[in-house]
Amino acid sequence: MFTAEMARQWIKESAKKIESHKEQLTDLDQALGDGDHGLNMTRGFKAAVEQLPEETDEPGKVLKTVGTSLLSKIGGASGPLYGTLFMKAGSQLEGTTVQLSDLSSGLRVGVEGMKKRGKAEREEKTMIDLLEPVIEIMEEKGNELTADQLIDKAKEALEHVKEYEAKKGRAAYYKEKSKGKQDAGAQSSYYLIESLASVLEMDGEA
Amino acid sequence: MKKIINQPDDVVSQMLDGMVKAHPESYQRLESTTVLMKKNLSENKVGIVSGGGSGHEPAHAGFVGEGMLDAAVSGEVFTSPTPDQVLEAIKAVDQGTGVLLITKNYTGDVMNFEMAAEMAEDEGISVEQVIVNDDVAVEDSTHTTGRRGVAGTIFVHKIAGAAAKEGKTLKEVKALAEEVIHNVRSMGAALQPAQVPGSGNPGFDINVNEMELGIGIHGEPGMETIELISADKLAERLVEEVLPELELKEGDETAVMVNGMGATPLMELYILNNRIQDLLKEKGLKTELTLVGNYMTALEMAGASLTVLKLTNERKKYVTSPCQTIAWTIND
Repeated sequence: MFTAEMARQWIKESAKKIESHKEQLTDLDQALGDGDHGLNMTRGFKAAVEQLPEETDEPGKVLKTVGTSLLSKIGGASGPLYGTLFMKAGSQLEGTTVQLSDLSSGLRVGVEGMKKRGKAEREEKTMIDLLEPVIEIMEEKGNELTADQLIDKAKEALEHVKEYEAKKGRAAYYKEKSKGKQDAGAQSSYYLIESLASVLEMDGEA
Repeated sequence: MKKIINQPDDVVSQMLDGMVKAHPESYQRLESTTVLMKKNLSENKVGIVSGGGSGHEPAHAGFVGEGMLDAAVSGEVFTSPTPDQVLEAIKAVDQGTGVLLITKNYTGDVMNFEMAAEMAEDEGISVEQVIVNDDVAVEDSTHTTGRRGVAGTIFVHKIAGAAAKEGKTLKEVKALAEEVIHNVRSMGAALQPAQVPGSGNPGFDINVNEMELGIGIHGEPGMETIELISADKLAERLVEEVLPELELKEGDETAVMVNGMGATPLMELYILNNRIQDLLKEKGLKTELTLVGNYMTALEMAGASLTVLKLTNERKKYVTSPCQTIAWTIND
């Protein structure tokens, strides 16, 4: 099960993790971008937490609202991308009873939306390189998914992203110099997945 | 880096309010947005909206006014504004004749303006978007993000704004803006980095005896880090890099901008222009219009860029026609 309360916890936990890693995200972005990822993500997730619909029992509604908050508060490239992820994923989840397999189908639609919006493919050193492998393991494991499987896959993906050459965003101007440096967007995506895993773990399903 | 600010979170909002208070008769801030717009919109013309991250002042809000932009949307420093803000600007300036969005080629700007355009279309407003990518320092490749948009954007504002004022249709204004984009090239060099308010570090590191050639307006790396060279040598290098793709012939007419990055004194910009104009003349090129000053800055970055626009009779007419904005005025 993936409940509305779990969806809210996911976002609250993500906001905490992002805020506590604000400096790290900013430093990563400074090395390959313009050094505002930590600030923008912190601002966006803070707004998302403030605007969380506390009364609804529908996880889809929670995620859609989160998407709208992120879209209007993050700015830069991350706003439309994370906004798209949550809005599209949320609109796939209907009603109050949502299984983990439904969540993975929702996130699949979300990540496809991100790829389209950002004109990005795999191995271009972006958030996609972190999120898509994670969604694949979710799809593979279905309702049997465990928190550990999520974390392991996310860690593995994060290591791969580091080695790619950036092809999208401002990082692309660094060309081969971008190899060996972590992508700030992939790192923030990692925190989202880590937060999702902790929510699944707390729920006792995992 | 020392700055005259209050809270880093308030810089954009307080700057916009300060701009309106400097020119209350001409500008207004759209309520609860970061949109600066003309107070009195001319009727029945295509709306022109631009915007992007803040920190490039006077771009873009400083080019709102008669004959240029109808509204500018300011994001956080070096961060694209969000689609909801852009949508508000589109709705505010649309007169039923459509709106042209002018953005610089950065992933965030392109996506946020694109989403705003889609939302506006859903509300029945015709919107077109052009993307400026004039920076020759970046390899032009379809496999990556492509070239950055820099100071050449100001010429796109000017010509699109003038054509819209004359009553051209959305389709015509867009076509003209795209022609400008195809015929404008820029490149810059930086001596000192800028620092985003609230950030602990400057945007990049550079040694005292070096300059970064081909710098981006957010401190992105350029072509190479070179030893500090004289103004004349820099002029030669910039001209050499900017001109080739324009395929100019002897006798061709141009508009030239020698743009300061924020912290470089006008004295230095004029010294640079002194040699640039001679070089263009030696090549048999005519300069119909020259702008020297801070038009597309990067906070307190020290440095300068050269932009050259190839003119046709039509582009010459629009680039030299009257306009009244905070940052650029041409009188009747």
